[in-house]
Amino acid sequence: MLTQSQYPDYKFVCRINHIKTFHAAIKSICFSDFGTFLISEDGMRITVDQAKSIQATVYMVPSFFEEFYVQDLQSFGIKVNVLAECLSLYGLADCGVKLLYKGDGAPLMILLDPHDDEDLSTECAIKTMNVDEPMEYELDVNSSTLNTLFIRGPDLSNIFHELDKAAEEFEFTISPRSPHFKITTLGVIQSESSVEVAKTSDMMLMFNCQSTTVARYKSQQIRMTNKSLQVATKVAIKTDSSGLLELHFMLQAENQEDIYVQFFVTPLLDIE
Amino acid sequence: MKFRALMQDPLYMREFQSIIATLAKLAKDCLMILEDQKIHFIVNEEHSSTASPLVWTSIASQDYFPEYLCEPARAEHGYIVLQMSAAHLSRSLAVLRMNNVNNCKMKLQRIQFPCISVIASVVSATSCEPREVVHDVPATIVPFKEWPPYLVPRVPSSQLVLNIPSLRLMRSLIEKLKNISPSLVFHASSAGELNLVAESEMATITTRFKRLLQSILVADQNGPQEASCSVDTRKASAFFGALQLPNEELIIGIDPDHSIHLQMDIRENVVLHSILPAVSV
Amino acid sequence: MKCTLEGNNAKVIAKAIQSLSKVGKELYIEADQQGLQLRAINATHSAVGSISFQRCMFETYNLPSSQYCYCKISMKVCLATFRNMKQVEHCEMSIVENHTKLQVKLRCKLETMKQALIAIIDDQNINAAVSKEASPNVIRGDFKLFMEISNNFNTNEEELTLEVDSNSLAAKNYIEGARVSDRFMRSQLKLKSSEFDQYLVTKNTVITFCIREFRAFLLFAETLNAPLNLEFNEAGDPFLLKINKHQEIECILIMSTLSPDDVSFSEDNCQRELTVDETPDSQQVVSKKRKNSQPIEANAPEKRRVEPDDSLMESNSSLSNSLFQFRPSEPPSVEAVRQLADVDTLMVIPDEADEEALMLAAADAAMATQMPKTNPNPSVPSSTEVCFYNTEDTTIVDQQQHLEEEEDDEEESIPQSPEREQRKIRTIFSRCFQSTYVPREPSPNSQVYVPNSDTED
Repeated sequence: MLTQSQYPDYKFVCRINHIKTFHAAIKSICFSDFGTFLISEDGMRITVDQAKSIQATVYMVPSFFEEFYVQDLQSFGIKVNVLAECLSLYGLADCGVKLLYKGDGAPLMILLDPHDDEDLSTECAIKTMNVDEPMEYELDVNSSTLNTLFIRGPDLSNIFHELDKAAEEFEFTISPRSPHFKITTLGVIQSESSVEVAKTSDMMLMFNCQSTTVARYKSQQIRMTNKSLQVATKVAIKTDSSGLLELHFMLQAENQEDIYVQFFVTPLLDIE
Repeated sequence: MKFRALMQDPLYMREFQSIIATLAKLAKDCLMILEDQKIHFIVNEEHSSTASPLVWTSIASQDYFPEYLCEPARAEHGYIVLQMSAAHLSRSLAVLRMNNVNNCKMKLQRIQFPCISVIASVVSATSCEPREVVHDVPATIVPFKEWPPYLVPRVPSSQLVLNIPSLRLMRSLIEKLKNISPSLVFHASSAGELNLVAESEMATITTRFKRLLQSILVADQNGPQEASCSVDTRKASAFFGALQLPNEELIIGIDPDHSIHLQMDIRENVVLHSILPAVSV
Repeated sequence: MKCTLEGNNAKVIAKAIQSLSKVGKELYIEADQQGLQLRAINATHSAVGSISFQRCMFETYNLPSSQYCYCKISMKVCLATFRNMKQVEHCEMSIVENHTKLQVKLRCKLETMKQALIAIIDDQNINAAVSKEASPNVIRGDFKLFMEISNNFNTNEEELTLEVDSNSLAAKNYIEGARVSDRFMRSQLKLKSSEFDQYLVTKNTVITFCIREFRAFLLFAETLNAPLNLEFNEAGDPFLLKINKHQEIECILIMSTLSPDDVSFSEDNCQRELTVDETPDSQQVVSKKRKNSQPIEANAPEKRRVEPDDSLMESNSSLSNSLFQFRPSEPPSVEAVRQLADVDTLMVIPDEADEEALMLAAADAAMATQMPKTNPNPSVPSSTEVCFYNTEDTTIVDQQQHLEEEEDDEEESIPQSPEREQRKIRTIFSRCFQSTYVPREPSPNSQVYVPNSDTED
């Protein structure tokens, strides 16, 4: 849905009628300071990474927006937590949001108009900067060891939420044999716990596994996905023998296209 | 020295509780100034440097308290000035939030040391027998010669006074702006516009409130006028965040480059005030 | 030991653990013929809570050939395991790996299985036995009523005082007439006896106990939707809180109470209106003086304990039993030994045991310096076992218990140093067990346990 811009000065303009899902998506990737915007005719993506070991990207297709206009390819860096603060200015009250960008060096303008108060409006100008392209992570889709699971979001959220907070590491096991999907907590004094889900469980929307994969991750990094998971309706978990973990969260919005938040988490090296 | 007051109206009791709860969110200690016809409470006397602003409230005793007696140590002094923990006072009144309070008495007495005793008669949901709930809030009597710093503050003269009809969004806005910038500019015009501007290295945020009513008292000045004042965002946020009252309206007065006066008319003769001093940007 | 139970019952056990977690840092589990008992003891050893579940609550219930077993585990770990019970349909608990681990398997909805392997810290046990004799004061009321009483007080309150006479009950956060700090807000709630389901007060009593543990059990009463029974005698005697549900769940919280000797009374306690003649100047003096924590009224009766050891010695004569004790490693000869089979040879994690032994050694050393010279029979405990006795020959250990109690005022159960005793302002529960009195009782717990085979022995 590309509209001819009524804003000739601007390189990028978009409008969203209901801020909620967009705000939830941005808020869920605020684990690191800077985010990179990449806007093209294919849509908008905002990528955040930390210590080259975890990366999150929010994806929005043009049809997600009520209005979407972009000239060429626009890319800039921004402080994501400042963006999240701006989007939360009205608290839980619903509002429409418009993003405008004039190009290199210009600030990202955000206009917020609450639906229930015509006499109130807010304009935010957030400084942008040049940034390097984010690192590309990829799982080999043709790999024979690629395992793919689709799980209902709220159910997986419960499971992650109940993992022992004292644990330092989580071990993920995906196997064609029982236990099909198992998370073990490691590094808790006096306790060792695990949770396993059978592939026949109703929460498993898809279970595609040829061979067993086992990998360990920093629990702290897994917990960085919590905010996305809490608002996700569906989650895809993908991994292969390399251990690289891809989590794909689908955020469903009312009368809107879905927003996707994708995480890549790198595994801990096996010391043994 | 004597003080006694009785409340009976559930609405007033709940309101009184909300006023004190608001003060308790702002400061550890509060001043209670008792006089013949009025009770005042003050938190954060003027020169304090806490993150919370100076807030005071004045309650006319006449309608609020069917029984009211205040006898200062010396009649010519006219006041009893007490200092106490705002949290204790708030906690002692917490029971008034319920619907089942018959009445609530407050009295100044000495039990090992001076106390404001708050005595509520409560009927529980689980039984019909009235229960007596008593809290003795320790108080310090401020002697006459130490009164000067504790006088009830004067309402500053504002150049422009606007009426905010709804606090709902302003409250969340200022709370969030606290994370953006340490100072916040209030910029008002007699055309009924109020702009709040928060600026930081990373962002500038401007919020515009339109079509606000100007207070009649100062509206008769000639020609269009503008006034602005920059204040500490934390202080502003502390005031809005502390409010426990159901009132939605607020009056904002601006004394350019000097202070912002916030006034909430809780009801006739029951008023909550705050002053946010100007900060240099 | 292995037992299984249905999800809803497991949820009740989880709630019991949550309540006990507010009492102590360790959970003691004991399984015997009657059923499963969970217990915790607080840091100052002034309260012990026990919740027992009858066998009928379990689907299957298997004991080892010795017919009973017990263990101690970390409360924190246990709490984490039983934290989220919403999805749980079935629960299995068993002691595995040569009695070193407690295994918990929670089968949840959506074909999910949660497992935890919890390390057994020690094969320790505590027992709390209770008199079957009727208390002079028995009060029963709905948990909601006690909730309302409890909610009247701040969450950081430490003690609750009940003042009862035949017509009314006053709940206070202070003792009438006792000196309090000038920053302390006295609160009280007065209720008529008719508010209670049962109100039998034969003796006007003022009794003070820990509110935190009381609240922990109140929470569990709410879970069970059950009334609370309070049974008590007089100040200094133990205070009992009992909750029963369909004879399947029995809870008892035993708390030591404050002895009146430990209270400093103020003369200036009568309520009066401030007189007009108080000039501002004199008031100022008063307010300045109040900053001082020492009493200013010279003629106030100083009832507080001056010579703690004296009162200790006195109390020993009246003490035939203690609630629970640290027990010397040498089994006293007077005891009837309970026959143990394989439980007797259970492993203790050596490191843990060593550590505890060390801590205890330190505690003993501290105790020794505290021991009154007149002590007729000093004996130094060196084992970690906590056990209940109801024989009459336990004065020595009692005494040690008291001494230990003297020291650990409100802190951990490891005695700090004798100096702590000098704190006089509010040493309310300093002598928890001095007057704790548990007559011989006919419960199955009345037998004395033999010490578990510590690696030390």
